[in-house]
Amino acid sequence: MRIGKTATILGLSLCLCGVLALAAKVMNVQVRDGQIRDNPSFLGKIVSRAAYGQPVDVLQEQGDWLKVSLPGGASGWMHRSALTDKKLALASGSGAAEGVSGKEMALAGKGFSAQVEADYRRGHGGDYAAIDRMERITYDPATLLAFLAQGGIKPQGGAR
Amino acid sequence: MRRRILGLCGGAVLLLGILAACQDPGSITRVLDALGGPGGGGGNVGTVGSYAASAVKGVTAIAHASEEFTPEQEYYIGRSVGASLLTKYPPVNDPRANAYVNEVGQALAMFSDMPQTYGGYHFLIMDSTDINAFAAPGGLIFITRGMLHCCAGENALAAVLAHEIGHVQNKDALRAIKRSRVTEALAVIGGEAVKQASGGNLPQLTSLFTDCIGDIMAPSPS
Repeated sequence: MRIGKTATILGLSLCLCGVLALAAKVMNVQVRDGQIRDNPSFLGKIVSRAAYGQPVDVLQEQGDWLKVSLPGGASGWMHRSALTDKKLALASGSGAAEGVSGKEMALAGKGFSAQVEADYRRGHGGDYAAIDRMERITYDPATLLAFLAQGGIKPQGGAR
Repeated sequence: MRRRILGLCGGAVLLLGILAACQDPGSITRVLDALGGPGGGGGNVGTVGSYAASAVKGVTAIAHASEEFTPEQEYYIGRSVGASLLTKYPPVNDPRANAYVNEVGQALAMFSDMPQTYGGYHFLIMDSTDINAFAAPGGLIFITRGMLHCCAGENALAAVLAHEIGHVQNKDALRAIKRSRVTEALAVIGGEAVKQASGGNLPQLTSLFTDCIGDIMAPSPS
């Protein structure tokens, strides 16, 4: 009887440990265009996208790449620099009610925004048209790798 | 912090190594030919150097300012810093030359420690004979025509751009924002959700935003 009880407790403890181990680490997308790829490389095909502030479950880590899953069920690889531990998306007005700290509120996707930029522009001007044009110049990773290969370069850096 | 700086230095060395074997020094020459000689246009509007220096001032004094703003807010600060800079140093509107600088810069950024930022890395040539480059928060990087002429080849250009990418990753420009300003901004932003119901506090936020841009753009006290 006593042995049975001990075995039950042991069994329950092991189950609990298992559940804790299975609990996925949650991170948040910190880039505007969160690209989720089918393999851990910038050359991987983009299979899904996640918006800024979107929480994702981390399933696996491989160097600088994390395999994540989205609430809708999609999964794939994101580069570590696109993710943060910090909470970025709080529902508007919910923070005060839940008593979150000022720092967490600062991470709520508010503050300096497009609206503030527009207001600043009205008072100060600035060549935003040039900035917009500048932001439109983007090269996809395959083109950049081809450019490097053209120069005989075999990169060993962060995008492994 | 020291470890982080060392890491960044290591990253910069690595970045330089990546392009050390570049075998197309002709590219930059072609771009420079397209831009014309070093003597004309731009120039003499003060020095970009003062802005570049301001980006790193207070690195030791303000250790945490760069950690407080979200990537999205950093992006909006960067856009306005860039837009303001371009009113003093006009952009070179040569698509081919800018495309080339972006090709080199974005290839470097992809193999850096932080390949992705909120809005990504983008590069632009400014029409000035001053020899300088500038990194605005979030990944907007500017290089003067004077600096391009100063680069002996693609390797030198890569070194300059890698240095600026390092500034973006270390959030050096954000560190120029006064600590008291950051504290005040966080207090206002923290109370924003509560105030939104009653029309928000846009003027106050814009005023703080203006001051933050001013801190970054201010000439270095040295």
